[in-house]
Amino acid sequence: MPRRPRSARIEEQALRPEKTRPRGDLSDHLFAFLLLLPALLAILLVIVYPLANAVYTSFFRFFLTDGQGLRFLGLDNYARMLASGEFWRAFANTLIYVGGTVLGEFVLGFALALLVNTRFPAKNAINSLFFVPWIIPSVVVAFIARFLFFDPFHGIVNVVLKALGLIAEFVGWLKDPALAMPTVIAATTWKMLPFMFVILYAGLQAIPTEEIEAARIDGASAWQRFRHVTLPNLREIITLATILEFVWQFQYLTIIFTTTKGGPIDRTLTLPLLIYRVSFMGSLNMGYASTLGVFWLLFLLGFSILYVRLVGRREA
Amino acid sequence: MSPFSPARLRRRALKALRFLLILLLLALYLSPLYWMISTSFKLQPEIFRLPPSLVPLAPTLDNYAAILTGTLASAIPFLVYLRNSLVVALGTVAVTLVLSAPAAYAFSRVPFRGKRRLVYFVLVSQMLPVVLILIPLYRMLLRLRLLSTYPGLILPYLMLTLPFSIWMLKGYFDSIPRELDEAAKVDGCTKLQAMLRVILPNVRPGLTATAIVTFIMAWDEFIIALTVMDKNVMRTLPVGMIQSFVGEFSIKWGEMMAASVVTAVPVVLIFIFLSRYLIGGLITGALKG
Repeated sequence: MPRRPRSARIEEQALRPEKTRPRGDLSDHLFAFLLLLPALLAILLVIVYPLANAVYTSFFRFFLTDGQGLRFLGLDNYARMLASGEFWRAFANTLIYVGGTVLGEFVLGFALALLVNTRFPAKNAINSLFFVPWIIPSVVVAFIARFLFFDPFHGIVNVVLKALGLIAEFVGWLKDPALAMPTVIAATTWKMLPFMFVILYAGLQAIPTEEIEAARIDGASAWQRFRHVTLPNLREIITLATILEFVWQFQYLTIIFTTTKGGPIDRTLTLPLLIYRVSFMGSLNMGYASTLGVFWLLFLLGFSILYVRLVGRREA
Repeated sequence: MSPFSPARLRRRALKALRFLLILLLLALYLSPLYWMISTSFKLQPEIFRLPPSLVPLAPTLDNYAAILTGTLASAIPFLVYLRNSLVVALGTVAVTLVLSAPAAYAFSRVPFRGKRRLVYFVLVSQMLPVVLILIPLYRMLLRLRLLSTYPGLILPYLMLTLPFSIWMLKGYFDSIPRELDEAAKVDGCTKLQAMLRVILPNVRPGLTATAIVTFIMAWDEFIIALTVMDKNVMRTLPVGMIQSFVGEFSIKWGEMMAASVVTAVPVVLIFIFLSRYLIGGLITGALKG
């Protein structure tokens, strides 16, 4: 092996961070350890330990209040869950609620982003105003929804729709088993849409104008430019934002909890709501509630891993 | 081409139409908020009037006066809920920033083994079922006698805010050029000095953005607060609001809308002054790392 010149070796050494630190300074590993320690301890305390504990509890009979403590059940809770019609209904409702909300957010948010992707007066102010519903607290959104869709006679939605001749009779939006779910989806979409809007708008802004101009010069129609330039450029952002929203909306129960409470006749009962009901209202059956949560954890894990992979690819 | 050529006129007309459409959609989109504000200044008979009045005919502050001194269902003045919400949200912001900024700095700047895996771990930890984690956490807080205390609510809020903040701040740290680190090193700064004096002042917009997102999350949170704050005087605004207006025979819409306005105003104020940071931060948090 040929010997490298001495000067090259010295340079190499000089480039190593360890060798250049001032005397008495921390090593990289110790520094990183000290910086990360508080945050990781907190995550361990409020996320990892409780999560592990919940998974453990899911194999036990455990009611918070009956004083009998934990009794090992094996997979009984899981068998009960899989045989429970209530569980499957709640799971299906969750998919409808989350699917409907994310789809609504995406379609409307994308349309809005395309619409404002041009020059017009007071653009920044108007774009910011479109964002306002996202910061309105969920409980306020729920109150407004209850007021707007209030039945039987005085809700403004009913009054306007009847004046326009779109409905013949006043409708009990949140009390009708068939309409309650679409109504809570509409309220949730109203609140969450700005997130999709700003993300997609940022994506649109990042598309190089030359690409669109080139397509225009080549005689591509507006639809062709959208289909072959805009969409491919946005594909990754769309995937990331959709997964993120899907996982977040799966958690989200505030609007349902404060409008319909899962009713009428469980039509808007979603999985997080069912878990909360089983664990904190009524029987306080925390073993079975944990089992329901573990199902949800496993179901969403796939989406989380996909998200992490995609973000990792962007980073590299 | 003359400024009045048909092609040019048509383009201008289309542009004007598009602008009008944007304004119309904006008005429609924000109309529920207008209706909330308008109703908060009306008395019950006017609220039930048909056809409804767009602008309050006899504007009144009665609804605001009523909620500020406590409603029928809950004798707690709203100012108490407001104070609780402020303490919890500001406390959550402070603790979150103190914990997440050093961690994000380490992820962005300091080389160490196993970093990638740890970053992914943080990323996944913001996607876990909150209600499931809440079950053991509730028992923990019960044992520690932290139910209905401020720290007892700030602690579980960290599960919502900490992973997201670390991730978001890491994005901001990553955007600071590496040359700055080199310059600090040449100037003889230790690692800690380089972080505190050189890099940290440069990510101030990132810290602001993270603080705002964290504040909004804590201000909005409902289900954990409902579970942890079992004493009425300790409730935050979202829970206090629900407790104030349940179980009444006839719903007082005017007071409900006034309470909604009071709950929304602080975050809207923050937004008016700092929306630039907030939106930039959200995009960074969701898409970059």
